[in-house]
Amino acid sequence: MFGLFKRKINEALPDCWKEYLANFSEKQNLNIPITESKFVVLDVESNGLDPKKDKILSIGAVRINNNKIDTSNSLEIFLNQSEFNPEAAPIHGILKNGKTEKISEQDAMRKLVEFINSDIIVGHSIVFDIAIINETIKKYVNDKLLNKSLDTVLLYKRFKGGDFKVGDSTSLDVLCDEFKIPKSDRHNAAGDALITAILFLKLISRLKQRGVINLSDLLKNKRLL
Amino acid sequence: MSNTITHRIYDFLKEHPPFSFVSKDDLLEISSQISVLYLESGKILFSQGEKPPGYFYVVREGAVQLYNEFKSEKILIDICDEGDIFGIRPLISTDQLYTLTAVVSEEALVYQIPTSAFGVIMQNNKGVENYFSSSFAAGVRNPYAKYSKQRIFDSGEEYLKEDTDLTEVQTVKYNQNIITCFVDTSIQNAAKIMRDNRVGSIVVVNGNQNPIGIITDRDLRNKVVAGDLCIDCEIKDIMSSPVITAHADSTAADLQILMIKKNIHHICITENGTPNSKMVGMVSEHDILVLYGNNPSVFIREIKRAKEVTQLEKIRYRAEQLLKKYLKQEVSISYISRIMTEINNAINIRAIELTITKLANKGKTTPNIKWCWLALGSQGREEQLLRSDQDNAIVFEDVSEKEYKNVKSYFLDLAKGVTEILNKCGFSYCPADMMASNERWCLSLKQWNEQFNTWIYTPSSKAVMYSTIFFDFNPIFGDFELAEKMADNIYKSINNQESFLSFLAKNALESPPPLSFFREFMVEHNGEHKNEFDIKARAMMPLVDGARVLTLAARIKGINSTIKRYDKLAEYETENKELFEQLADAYEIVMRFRAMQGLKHNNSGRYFRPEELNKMQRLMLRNCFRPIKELQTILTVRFNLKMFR
Repeated sequence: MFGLFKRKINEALPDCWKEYLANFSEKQNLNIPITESKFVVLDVESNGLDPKKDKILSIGAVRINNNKIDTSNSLEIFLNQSEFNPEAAPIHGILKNGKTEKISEQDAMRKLVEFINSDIIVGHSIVFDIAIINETIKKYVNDKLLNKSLDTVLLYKRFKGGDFKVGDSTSLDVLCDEFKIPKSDRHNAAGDALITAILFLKLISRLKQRGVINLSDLLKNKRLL
Repeated sequence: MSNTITHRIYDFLKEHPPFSFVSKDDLLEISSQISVLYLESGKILFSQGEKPPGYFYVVREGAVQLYNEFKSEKILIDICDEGDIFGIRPLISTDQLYTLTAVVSEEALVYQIPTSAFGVIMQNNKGVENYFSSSFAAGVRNPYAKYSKQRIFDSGEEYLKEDTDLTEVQTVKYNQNIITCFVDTSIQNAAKIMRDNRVGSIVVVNGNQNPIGIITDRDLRNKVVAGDLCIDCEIKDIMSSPVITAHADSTAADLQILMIKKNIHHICITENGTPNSKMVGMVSEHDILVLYGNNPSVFIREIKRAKEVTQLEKIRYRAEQLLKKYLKQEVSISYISRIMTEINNAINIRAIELTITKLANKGKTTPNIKWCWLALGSQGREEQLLRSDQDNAIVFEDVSEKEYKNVKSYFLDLAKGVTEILNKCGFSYCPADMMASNERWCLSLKQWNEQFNTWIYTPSSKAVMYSTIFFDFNPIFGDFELAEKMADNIYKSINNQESFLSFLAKNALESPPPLSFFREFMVEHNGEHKNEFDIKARAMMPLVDGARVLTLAARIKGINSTIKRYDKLAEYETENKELFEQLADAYEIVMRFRAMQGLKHNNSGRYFRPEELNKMQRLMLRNCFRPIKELQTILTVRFNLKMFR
């Protein structure tokens, strides 16, 4: 869990990180309706599934404000990674030195923290995404993300309750079919972030009917399953 | 900014009008400014009378219904699904309020597009503007929704061509005798010309008869009489210029939108639509308003005043054009059938009145007794959309044996005259002669009661067949109390002879099933309509017959329309509420479908070839056939029909 304990801001940190930490200086009010909250839905594409060893290839993110996905305020960045695992490329469609403009890992992290502020991060199996981002950030500052997070996989299990059976697939593809979410060009960070955002809205709408109204209701219990 | 997301939205929008008319760069720009809304079923996106925000909407997934609320009545105007655009009012004018309420009927993803993003593009693109102007004037998002969707997708060309269909209904009669003058005419002379010709406006033309300005009496009042200019000044000082022009082919919708946008009341019609060609006429705002007078209340007023049968004929033809327009605009069937019933009934009443006058002129006066004209069959059920065969009857008060002969002879004469007029108006004679002019169906109350009792107590197959037509009687003219007495007798007899309902129910099951085991349409195997699907026998009859027997069994009185019967049944039997609602919907769909087919092929719409339908139509019909099977199961169980086998 990422704590909200007060930190001393170290003067030696880069400015962007100082600004990022400053976002957390006020305690967030969790007693507001979910529909009036801000979220950043995030997806990371990497060249492997080991946060310690593998690298981020791209990040896609969209904002949800007042239950609305604001696509004009979205993030899509591709990273210039010298180490490159060719086997992962066909899945993600990201080719090393492809046409897309790429930025350095450090610039990417700067852009990312500027984008997310102190908003709650939402993602599908978000633990991995946050872990690999934290590993990357660690190379530049001795710190990690402070944002609260919500995992759409866990929200889905919570929605299913007793109907969820161990072994049922919770892949984004399967959930998109179940929730009738259109899914063109999947396996691209920004595209997946958009789909995950829609899935998130559908899940919170269903959970709302079961009394999950405020942000605090959504955040508690989140590890119940 | 994420290019991937922008492109994904672009890929969707480019397939749908009016975005299909927009250039790639412009559309990418629009796509980058969109918000995605997820809306739960039942959510109200905006309400009638609200001020529109700076957005309009496109359905990405799910469905949104648009309602018009009038005197606490909700009329379904339109159902928007994937790719449909709605809430476009802010695009046309900023100061107007929403005229419809948008309710999410199926959980939906909706793109919210800022109006500002679209305004510029609309002005630069003829196709887009046309699209919106016709949508706007029609009062709905897309006048060609659903049924001609495929064509709209193809290209702008096709869409614009399709426009002419609407013009047929709404031909603008523009004035071709335009009073003109030249620029150097004095204001005084121009005013004289206007006065002499008794016109409110004068068009200023050059030597080639191209319009260069216009003066209305309002200009004279405001600019001259108010004292700003002298009457000797030249006309060019006060004329409005340049003139707004349009092509003669412009639809009423186009012209109306042009007037609203430019805040003008007159449009010059020129040869090529620009001010640089010869003027051929002028359309005023008034002309357009007259055109929109093509509405039901105007029809009914005209029918009530009609002196000649030919007038009735013409009005009925125009009503059919209105029907066509309503069907295209997807106005709800219950609303359409209510209006068409009103019109048909008004024609029927007028035909009776005209005949009474005609008989009186010949010295035959109406007997001074109570009597009533009854509509039967589909007119009796208030669901006659197209002009089909007439079925009617007369009931009159019981009279002494001595009077009977004269009374009956008068009503037979009356019925003969009325059926003749109806026939001329396109309601052809009933081939089975179930008309008031047949002495069997022009009876006294006592005789009718005996007739119904015979059918109820000795339900032969013929008796059941008659019941299906005569039980749906609806009083049209005269003393409605007589009709009520007939209904009372029917219910009394059914109470004594409950088994009659089983015969009716059995009859309702005898219609052939619409679909084969493999969900294919069952077509006729031989005869004139070989390989065609009979929508009346296979889908409408089971629904109509089922509704009748169930309402009779529930002793629900005074409701004849099949849709209303199912609605009422849904109230009575809450445990089957969902099924009855589905049946009401199903009937609405098949009625609409049949009317569309009928108008398309200029026939009754009863038969069609399943392969001519597109995929969506097939799917829609198949889905509405599903509850018919359940209905038949209910009938079998409830009326113990297994024993009949």
